[in-house]
Amino acid sequence: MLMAETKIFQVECEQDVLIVTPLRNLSSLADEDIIAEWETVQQQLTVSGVRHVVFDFHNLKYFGSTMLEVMLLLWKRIRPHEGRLAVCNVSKEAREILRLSRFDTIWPVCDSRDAALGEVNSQPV
Amino acid sequence: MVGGLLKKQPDWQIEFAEHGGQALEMLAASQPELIITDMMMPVVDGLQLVAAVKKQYPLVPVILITSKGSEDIAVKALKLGAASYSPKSALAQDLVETVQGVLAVSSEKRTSARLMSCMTDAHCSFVLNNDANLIPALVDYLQEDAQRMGICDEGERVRVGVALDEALVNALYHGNLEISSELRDTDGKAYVALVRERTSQPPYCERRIHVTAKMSPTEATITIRDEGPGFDPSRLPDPTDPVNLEHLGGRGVLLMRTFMDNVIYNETGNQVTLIKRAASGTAENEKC
Repeated sequence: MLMAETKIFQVECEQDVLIVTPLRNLSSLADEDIIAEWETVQQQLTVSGVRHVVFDFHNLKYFGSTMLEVMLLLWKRIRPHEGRLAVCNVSKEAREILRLSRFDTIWPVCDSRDAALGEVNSQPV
Repeated sequence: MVGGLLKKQPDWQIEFAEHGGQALEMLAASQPELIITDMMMPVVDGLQLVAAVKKQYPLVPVILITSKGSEDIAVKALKLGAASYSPKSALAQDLVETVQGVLAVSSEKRTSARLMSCMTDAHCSFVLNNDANLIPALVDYLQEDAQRMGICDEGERVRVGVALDEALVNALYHGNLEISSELRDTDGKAYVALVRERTSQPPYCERRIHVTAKMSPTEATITIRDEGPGFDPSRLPDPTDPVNLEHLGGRGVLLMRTFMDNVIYNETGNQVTLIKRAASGTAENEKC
């Protein structure tokens, strides 16, 4: 179910998984429109009762530290409630960035959305 | 039919491949000025051929012949890098004109690429105000210069772009506006409000970002200086240390150091020099 379509983050909900699809890279969170969208994404965690998050990067060839921070902030929100985060459809460059930042050690990096959904639903806490 | 139409042009020399795989073998020996390909082929189909040629021989344009009802494929082909497409139903009317148009554009590109291979060095300088919207455009400009000079290929261009973006964003928010990453963690709205406030408040609003770029066929040196107080980069926590994994900040510098060959801060910490060297064999341009 597509819950909200925005300029930066497309947000969908599949059972208790929030699927966030960034539509473009972010250089910073200093823009009011971006912050508004970002807060909408965070609100979905409380309003719709989702526990887990999947980031789908099929639109992006790469991203930088701000996107990593966005993912980290969401993960810190869901983790206390035993939520899990997985990433999917990353390009070669994006996979390298996840590896460099060591986030691939805590978030599964999957080849498809289905695989990512499977990870968050089956991965032990 | 395609061959018949093209052979009528007296100045064009036509060579044929049975399928996309053979076309790629032929390209390895010598590159034509243009490729016209069908979509459905064994071994390597039209879209795969478009993608491969774009990657390996970016100066060779590809025109895809499309059949009726395959507009989606045409769009896909253009996104993959095809120069144009020509519907089968209109070949007799359109193909020659399409080929002529593509050849004209690609000829200009080839000449431009040859000229750039003769360039020995290029310098440019920018002084930016604290407008974040300028950063993507500047990054794009510098990426283009570096790639045109032969310092980086498409993959390295992406990495260089990430590093430059991180350095410029740091210069603006952490340097000139003196805003910490931690505020994003606690209160996003306060973060935006503080950015807005300082963007119009002296002394922050009066500060500038100075960028100089020196490019040669072997190396790109980009220096970015902000007018803030600076910082001590040695005190940045190592974001790859598991202890710091949940810490915001520090990853921008990590990406800069990974994607550039050298990252050098001045003593004050308000100036960073990023150096990218050409790997041997990355220069795609025809030699001068």
